[in-house]
This record gives sequence, C-alpha cells and structure tokens, in this order.
Amino acid sequence: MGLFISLAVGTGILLMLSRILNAALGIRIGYMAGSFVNHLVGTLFAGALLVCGLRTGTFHGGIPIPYYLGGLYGVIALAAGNYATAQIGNTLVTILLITAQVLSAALIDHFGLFGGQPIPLRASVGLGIGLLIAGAILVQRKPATSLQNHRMGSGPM
Amino acid sequence: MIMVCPPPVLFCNNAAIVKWGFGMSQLLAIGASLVCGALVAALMRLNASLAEALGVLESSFVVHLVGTLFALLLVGRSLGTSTTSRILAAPKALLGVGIVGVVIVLLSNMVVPKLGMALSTGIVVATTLILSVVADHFGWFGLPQLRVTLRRAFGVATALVGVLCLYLR
Repeated sequence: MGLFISLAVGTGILLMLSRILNAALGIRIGYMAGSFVNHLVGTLFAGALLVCGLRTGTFHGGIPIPYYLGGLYGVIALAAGNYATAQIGNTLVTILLITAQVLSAALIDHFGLFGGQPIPLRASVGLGIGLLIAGAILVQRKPATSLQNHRMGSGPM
Repeated sequence: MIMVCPPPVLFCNNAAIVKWGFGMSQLLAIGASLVCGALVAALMRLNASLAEALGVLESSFVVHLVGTLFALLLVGRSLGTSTTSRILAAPKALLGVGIVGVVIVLLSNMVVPKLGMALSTGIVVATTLILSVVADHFGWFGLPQLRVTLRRAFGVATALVGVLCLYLR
C-alpha cells in the first residue's frame, strides 16, 4: 500500500512537470500541435522500450474497444480544457475540473465502471471528496483580485 | 494523456465575461471543464484496465499511439504549414514531455488497480496542489512569486485531510 501511495505521489509530481513543459511547448507551437508532438514522442519512446525487450505483459486481442480509447479522451480533454481556460480563466476551470474528476472517480469506483473492481461508496469517501474540493478552492490564487481588476460595474460574478 | 490541464498559472481571463456578460460561451466553458474532469477520470480507469489485460507499458504505448493518431486527425491540415517549422524550432528538451507522459501513464496504470480511482485521484490532485503552492512561494518556473498565505496553507491541510478520509476503509 505504502509503495503504491508513493507511486501515486510520483505521478502527481510528474504530472505537474508535464503541465509546465506542455504549457511551454503549447505557447510555442499551439496546444493541439503540442498534444500531437507529446503523444508522438511518447509513442516512439514506449515503442522503443518494447522493441528493446522491456515487456510487462503481452499484446493480444479480445479486449473491449472502449479500453483502447483512453488516448483519444486525453486529446479531447486537452482541447476542452484549453477552450474553457480561454473563456473563463484558469482558476474556475481548475476548480470545476477537480470537482468533476474526483466525483467521477468515486462513481467509477462505486459502480466498478470501465473494467475496475467495484469499491462501494462510504461516508468517509464523500467527506474526503468534499474536503479535497474545498482545499482546491482555498489554494487558488485570489480570483477576486483579478476579477476586480477587470470588472467594469456590471460584472456578473 | 493526463496532461489535460491548462498551464499551471494563468491570469484569470475574465475579459470575455466583462465584455459579453455571462453568456452561452461561459456556460459552454463550464460544461467543457466538467467534461474534461470526467474524461480524465474515465481515461485513468480505462488505461488501467487496458494495462491489466496487456501490461502497464504496453497500455502506455497503445494510449499514446491512439492519442497520436487522433491528434494527427485534428492538426493534420496545419502540419504542412508553419506548424512543422515551429515544432522543429522548439527547444528539444520540451519534446521530452512525451517521455514524461509515458511514465505518468505507466505509474497511473500500476496505482489505480491497487488503490482504486478515488484514492489515486485524491493523492495525485493533492500532490499537484501542494506543488503549485510551493512553486508559487519560491517563484519557480519564472512565474510571479506568491508567498504562502494562511488561506493557501489551510487549503493544503484541508486537501490532505481529504486524502486521509479517502484512505480510511
């Protein structure tokens, strides 16, 4: 359990690193082209490891088609996230995204969706999700400040 | 694949709201943000299920291959133009982001079947929240410095208690 928690923390650290690199790349070549390059380099890298004999399993057929679509959803999610950021700003997008992400995660666990083992919802999970969302909101840079900077009397928020 | 989030810190761009009022595009953007979050959760579980069938690295390879093909479909037309020269002109170190992506999917594939989606997501989200507070505090990555405030420290503590709740069985 401890090992996997450490690996999850490692995932978070690398995710942050990749966001920074992706942002720097996206500014230079555009976000969609950045996504393409990102996936292409990843494919070549993972492909090279596999060709060199690093295997963690075997390729075989008979797998439900939806299992293959994670990469497609990643590209769509990136486009949706960038569209939303341009419209309503990073702060609100981050809060909404994290909210939807943790709620969906709990539902996927509860119903055992997409091939996972069901993990029934517990009160502690509901509380944990609430606290996580509250934490995400508190951590955001003061949105009020930048709103006030732009507000011209009749701002709706 | 999971790098769906916008750049870590952008200025809150509310110019559109001020100009147009709270209109259709803002509602669409709220919907897009929620869809984005749900997709990220779904793809984490799907990638892990693929990994349980094929292997964690094999899954990461397939995920990136499918992503490449789909992104190619979306940017294909622009690749003949200035985009290609801009890609070639970009600092090579930035292209390393693809390698980081492979490792992210690999780790996520190992973690999700063991910890479940809620706890995995909770740990990853809390880690990124803490890192962004630390990065802001020291002004890393050329971003404007923002010292840790009581509010932000309290936010981190709240998120950590939240993860503890997800951990309890």
